[in-house]
Amino acid sequence: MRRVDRHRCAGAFLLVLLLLAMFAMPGNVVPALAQSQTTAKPAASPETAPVQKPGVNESTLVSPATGTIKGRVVSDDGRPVTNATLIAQAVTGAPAAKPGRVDSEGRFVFDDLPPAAYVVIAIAPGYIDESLATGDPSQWPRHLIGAQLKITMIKGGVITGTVTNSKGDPVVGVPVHASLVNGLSSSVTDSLGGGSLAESDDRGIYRIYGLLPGQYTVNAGGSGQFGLFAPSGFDLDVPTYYPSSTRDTAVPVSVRSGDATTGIDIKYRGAEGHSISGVVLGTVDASAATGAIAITLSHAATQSILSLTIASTVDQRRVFSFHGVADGEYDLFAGFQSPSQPDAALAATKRVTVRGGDVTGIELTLASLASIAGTMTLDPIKPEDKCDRRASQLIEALVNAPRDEPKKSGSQVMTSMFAGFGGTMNAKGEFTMRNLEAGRYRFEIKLPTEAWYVRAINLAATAAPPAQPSSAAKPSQSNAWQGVVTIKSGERLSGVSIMVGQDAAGLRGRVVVTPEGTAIPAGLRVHLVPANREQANNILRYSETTVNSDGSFKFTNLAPGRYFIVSRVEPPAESDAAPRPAAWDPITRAKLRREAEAAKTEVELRPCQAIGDYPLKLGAAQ
Amino acid sequence: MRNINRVLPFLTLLVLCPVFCAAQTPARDTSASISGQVTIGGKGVPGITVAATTSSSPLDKRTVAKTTTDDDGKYQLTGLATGQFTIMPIAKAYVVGGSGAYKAPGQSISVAEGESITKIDFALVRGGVVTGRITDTDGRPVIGERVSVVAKDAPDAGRPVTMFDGPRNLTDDRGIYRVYGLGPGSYKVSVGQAPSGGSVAIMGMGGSQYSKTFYPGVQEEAKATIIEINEGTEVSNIDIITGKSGRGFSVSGRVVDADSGQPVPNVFVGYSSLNEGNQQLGGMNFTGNQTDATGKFRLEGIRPGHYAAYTIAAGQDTSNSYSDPAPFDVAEGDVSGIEVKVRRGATISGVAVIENNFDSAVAALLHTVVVYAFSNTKGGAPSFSQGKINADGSFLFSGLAPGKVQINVAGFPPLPKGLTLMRTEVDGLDQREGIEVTAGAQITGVRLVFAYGAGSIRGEVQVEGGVLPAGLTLALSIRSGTGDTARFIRAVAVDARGHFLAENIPPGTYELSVGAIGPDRMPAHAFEPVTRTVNVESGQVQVILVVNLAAKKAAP
Repeated sequence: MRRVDRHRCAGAFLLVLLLLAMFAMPGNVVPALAQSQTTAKPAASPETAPVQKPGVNESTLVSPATGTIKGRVVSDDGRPVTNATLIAQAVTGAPAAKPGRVDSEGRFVFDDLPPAAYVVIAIAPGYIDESLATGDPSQWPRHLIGAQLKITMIKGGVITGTVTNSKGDPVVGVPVHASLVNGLSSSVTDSLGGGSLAESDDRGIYRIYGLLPGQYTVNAGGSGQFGLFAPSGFDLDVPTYYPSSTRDTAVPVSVRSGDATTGIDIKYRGAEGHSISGVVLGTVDASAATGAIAITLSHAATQSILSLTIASTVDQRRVFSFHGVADGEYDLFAGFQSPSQPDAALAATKRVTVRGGDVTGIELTLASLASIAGTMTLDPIKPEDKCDRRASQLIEALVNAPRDEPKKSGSQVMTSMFAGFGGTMNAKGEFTMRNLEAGRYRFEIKLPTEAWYVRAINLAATAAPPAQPSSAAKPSQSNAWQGVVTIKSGERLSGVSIMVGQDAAGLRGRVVVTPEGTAIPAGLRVHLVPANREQANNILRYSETTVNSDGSFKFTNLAPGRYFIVSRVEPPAESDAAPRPAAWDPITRAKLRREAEAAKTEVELRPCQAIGDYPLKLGAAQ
Repeated sequence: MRNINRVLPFLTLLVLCPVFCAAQTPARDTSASISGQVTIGGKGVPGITVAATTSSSPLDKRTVAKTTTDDDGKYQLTGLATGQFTIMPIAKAYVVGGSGAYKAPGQSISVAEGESITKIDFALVRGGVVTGRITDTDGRPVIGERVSVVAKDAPDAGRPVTMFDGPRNLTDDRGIYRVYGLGPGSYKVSVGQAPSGGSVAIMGMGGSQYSKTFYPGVQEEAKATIIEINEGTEVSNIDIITGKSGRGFSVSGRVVDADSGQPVPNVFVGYSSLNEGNQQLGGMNFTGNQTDATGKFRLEGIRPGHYAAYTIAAGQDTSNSYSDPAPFDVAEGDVSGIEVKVRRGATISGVAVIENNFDSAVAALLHTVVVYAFSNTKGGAPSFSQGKINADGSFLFSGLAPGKVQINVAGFPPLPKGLTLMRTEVDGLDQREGIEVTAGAQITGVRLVFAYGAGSIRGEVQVEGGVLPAGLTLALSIRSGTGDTARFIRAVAVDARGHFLAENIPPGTYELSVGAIGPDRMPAHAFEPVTRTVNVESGQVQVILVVNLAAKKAAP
């Protein structure tokens, strides 16, 4: 019988290896999990300049070899969170992750970090780091070596109630799950230590804690809820949503930070659902024995991921099935990423309608995803002309390609899981944004220092002849960067060049309202418009920013030169997508330019100049 | 501990996919049924859901049939195919009694084609409840920590958290826990992790940060206050104040190539707890920690103890190296300078064949098989290589440590029905004890001999001369060949009635052996093993095995 023992040991080992295989996936797994289940916030943040975001305070001076990121984790009452676990994940260069812990004062240090952009993830049971609340890793704060962080964790919210059956008796041991209404699940809390999953006790009472503030649907029963493995006896049932509904008619539950939302009682229906089954077709690289095709089932109207399963790559049949599915519309997604070829992920989607019976024979045919590759180059500059004092490196810069589309689809979320943190950047400035679906994309560029600015972006296909010296700062009208790039299914777009100047200027100012005490109008934005007519259609020379309630505003990472400065009130965005910068649209741009020229408020920004307190009279443009 | 509960199950789901396995069961006779009665205090209970879940493999568990008890508490589950099922009333606050030990209701039943099984009855007893609050020494609630309630006499070894653990028995955001469904008896309550418990820790997550503390706040298990639970009673205010076990210390070092001394970048480093004899205790700790460009690594939060660090070839089928385990001791401070030496491992290559097969469709099944080679050296880092069988039948394992290497089929994807790995041959000789591998050897010409067949062995184990001691279950082991040449093929569960069924057995001669398994899933020597030799062709072989408990008692 000693053999049995050995087999079990090997089995446990195999399991660990399979887990490892998941970790070895590019983009790493923790953020990937998080991203797989949430809505990403719009990519370009409208309150900052369109493409630029400084990574670090300029006052930090660091040696370029290796450095530290240190900081402190506190709860919102100011006490240290002493049981926090930390992960520093490099999001450029090699995708290495380092775990860390805090001391009794909540302090942590990651040392020996090579230059790169990092995200720092703090995990503590029942607590949440709100800066990770978007669930979209590409929007998590980036940190560079030398950074000193203060991570504030808030006590997560609570949903509690009782699950009873039609006779009013408690339903015991039923899994209860809370999902963010606008998210594709409560990912951060699911995978990063909160508890969006609970089980009713012997009185039928459940208590879900560690929730981000927001609107949730709450459901009991069903299969495929992440984190449930052993059959509960409720896994064939259609999940019952609060108060006693299907997903289509679920009533959202509001959760506030640190607060318990009570009385969320669910009348459990226990209706048996239908199944959706089929096969995954298409050629995959099955050289890796551990490869697996992930298949998800999403609710079509909300794109919430309801269930997830996998099929083995080495099994030619590649069958899948989902159970406990209610009547309705669903989106199926299949995706595969070979560990040996992380660039070449494959995906397939299909909409399925369930009406009173099982759906069988679904075929999901995998097709290649697209990629965008290019190089970021620093303009040559004399050392004495550089204004960056921290010796920033290209490997610390991030290039990301968010979708330029208003609505997010379930497949987009899954493909972004493959893409991980976006384009990886190496020390030579080479980057690739992988595993993109066909569609329209923006570039989101995060530079490591305010001393840099994006001077030009050229797509290889439309680039001017390379004969011109790099100092030729004027992109011609025909190939000027227009803000978005459209890629076809499976396309491999390469040769994108991003040129970065090293003598950027900055402008901080304050809107002056007359008479004194007048409120700043809502939706007020300040725009910088290039005064040089030759730059009239170069959207990289335009910048816009929001105005804070005290009237202050800030521009960084600006190309030196003359600008018109103008303010205008803009209506709030209608869709959940990030609004495009005003200058991207030729008509709006022309209008903005006319306003700016009329106002004639001009500012000259010399290389490396940081203007500190620029007064801007309100109404200058009107 | 909370974190691992969140992350691990998700990962496991991704990797193992319980649904996948079941989805490919071919159409078959589903006319079998199981019936019985659910009672409380001798009276039938109406309205209780009774479910049948598959239990053929721990990786393939899901509900396949469900029904509700009628006014007399009677139920009948229909539409069942042949196979092994767990039948359970969904009554989680209840327990069933039986030969002295209470347990959660559920019986494993082996179902034959078209069989009508009756009298699978459940006499439910309302379980007791233990509830209380866990706080730390600062008075703050301990959140998301697993509370362990174990019988007075059972050792509480601090079982590692597994992916099979649901969200049950965890403290909530107020530190409150509620453990229900406890059979009448005497219990001790504890929280935290014993030093030797071991865990599968990922990315610094997993493993409790609190030291093992028994109610009412003692470290020694022997001093734990015993709590008496009666039928349906609730014992409250079982509060525990638990100390942090300390954050542990950091352990740093380098991974270098044993021959060149060059640093090895970007490899995963794990560690295990060892006993004085350098034998592995508890689980393997995967920290998610990779070496940097200069081969350096640092492990965090390691408590005092004796350990070994080693590299792990994460998901790389083609990793060609292994490491010597580097032992280290943590006492009262950080440890540095650990050197883990990586060596080029041995390779094993060859071809896989299906013996006596001329059907190309059957031959094609081989290409869906994932095989692994495993060498477990004493106190060492286990070395492991996984590979698929290529279209020409060839396979390759690499990076193996010296020692005895066993080759087996992986759990995912499941082995196609009817296919069994019979033996591993080198030069025509069966390597029953594993292939002897020396350092860096390149072993070629290994044959993995599979067999294909649809025979089955059905039978019954009859127990004579007494009653099987509480907590023990019967298990059947099937070996190919007989006597000294027997090679382990499969373990088969024996159900509550003593029935068993082994399907998809290739033609051949097999040795069946019945043994007992204890609650720890380890063999228990309760009686002399009973063996029987059977000859399987394409149909079903029926066999009855008689276990005589008195015979064991008579033995010295």
